[in-house]
This record gives sequence, C-alpha cells and structure tokens, in this order.
Amino acid sequence: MTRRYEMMVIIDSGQSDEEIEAQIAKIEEAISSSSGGEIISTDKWGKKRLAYEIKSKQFGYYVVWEFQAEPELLAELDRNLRFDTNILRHMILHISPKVIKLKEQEQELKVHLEERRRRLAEEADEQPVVDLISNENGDSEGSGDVTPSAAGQDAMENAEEKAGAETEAEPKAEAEAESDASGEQE
Amino acid sequence: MMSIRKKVDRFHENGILYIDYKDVKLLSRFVTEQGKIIPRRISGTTAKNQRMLEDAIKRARFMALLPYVSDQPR
Repeated sequence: MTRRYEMMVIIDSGQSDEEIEAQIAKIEEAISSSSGGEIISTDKWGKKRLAYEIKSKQFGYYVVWEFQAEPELLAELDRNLRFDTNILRHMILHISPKVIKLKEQEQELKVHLEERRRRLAEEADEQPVVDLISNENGDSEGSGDVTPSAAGQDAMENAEEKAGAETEAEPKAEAEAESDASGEQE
Repeated sequence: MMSIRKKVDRFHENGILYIDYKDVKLLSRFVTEQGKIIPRRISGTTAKNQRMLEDAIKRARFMALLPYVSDQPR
C-alpha cells in the first residue's frame, strides 16, 4: 500500500544552479524509481532567506514535493537526505486521508465564501439604496433586542445573536437586493 | 459600560480547515514579534485550531520559515 507524503527540503543555495538542479533530479529519481513511487507535484520555491542561520548560512533553496510511495522507501530517503551535506534541512510528512479530505472541503468552502463576498460587493457598488435598506434591517434587528437594562447574560446572548445576524443577514440582503432590482426594472 | 468583545476564531471566519505549515503569512499573524505563539485566550482561536496551529508553527520553525526567537523586527 502506497501512502501520500509531502516533503520539504532546503538545499544549500551557495551552489551553482546546475548543481541544485542535479540534486533535485537525484531526489526525484530516488522516489520515482522505487516500487509504487510517483511524484504528484514539485514546487520549487527558490532561494529564500532562512529565519535563522543553519550551518552558518543565511539563505536556502526550498523545494516542496508531494509524492506517493511505499512506507519502506522513507527510511532510505531520510537517511540519504540526512547524510547529504548539501541538504540543510528536510522534513517528510505523511498526508493522511483525513487531511486530504479537509483540504478538499476547505477549497469548496473558500470558493463559496469568495463568491458570496463578491456578490455582496457588487450589489453594494451597483445599488447603494439596497445596501442602505439591508443595513437598516440589520441595525433594527440588533437594537430591538438590546435593552439598556440588559444584564451580563443578556449582553452575551445579544452578542451571539449579533454574530448570528451578521451571517444570516447576508442571504437576506441578497434576497432583498434581487427583489428590489426586479422592482426597479419593472 | 465595559465593552465585551466576542471571541472570533479567525480560521473559522476565513474558512480554513487545515492549517498548513507552509502558509507563513498566515502563521506569522499568530506569533508575537519575539516569535512566541500567541495564546488562545488572546487570539480567540478554538482549542482544536490552536492545537493544529501549534503543530504548524513548530514545523515552520524547524524548516526555518519562522524564527524560534527574534528580537529585531524585520
């Protein structure tokens, strides 16, 4: 059974470009030549400043791979990287199915959030009147619940309601914007 | 009246489910100028996310993406 891994390597950037490329190729070769080994992606970050000196060097060449391999390969890969004096640092992480799932869900969530934000921004630009209406509604919702004599508990509840209202207000605002827009057109 | 600020988990707000150690820009916001991890009592991060955040910051430190200690502001 192959597993998914992510590996980050910092190569000594004091070498020539060819030497760095040769090292990258060597590492990739070690992965892809193993049984079940397959490189999914290679991300060369390039020369970056290190947050602290490693082997009294201030810069390093970062490369990130995602790959698939048998767990048996890891010990060998790790040993080779560790004994290579031109490798400043390396880290191999197992990407569990759980993490893959989370990343996928995150992508979907972000698309949703961005779409919503964009739509709201567009509506605010095009129809300032609509924006005012939705704002008024939001305020009245909040102020209606808040009484001057509100105790600490009530304040907490109100805070929660407000937070809820913010997220809930979005679809409402959208709906209003749509209905208003159609009204104006007619 | 004392103002009560509601705690907001910024990962939750921005739809972040997996905190990646490679996202230095994000992680650096949860670290003090000295490089210390900001406690969740201040940042408002949920316990679950704080645990994930800690792992990510520690990984980033190991790979010299974040400092273990720093006194000079960049």
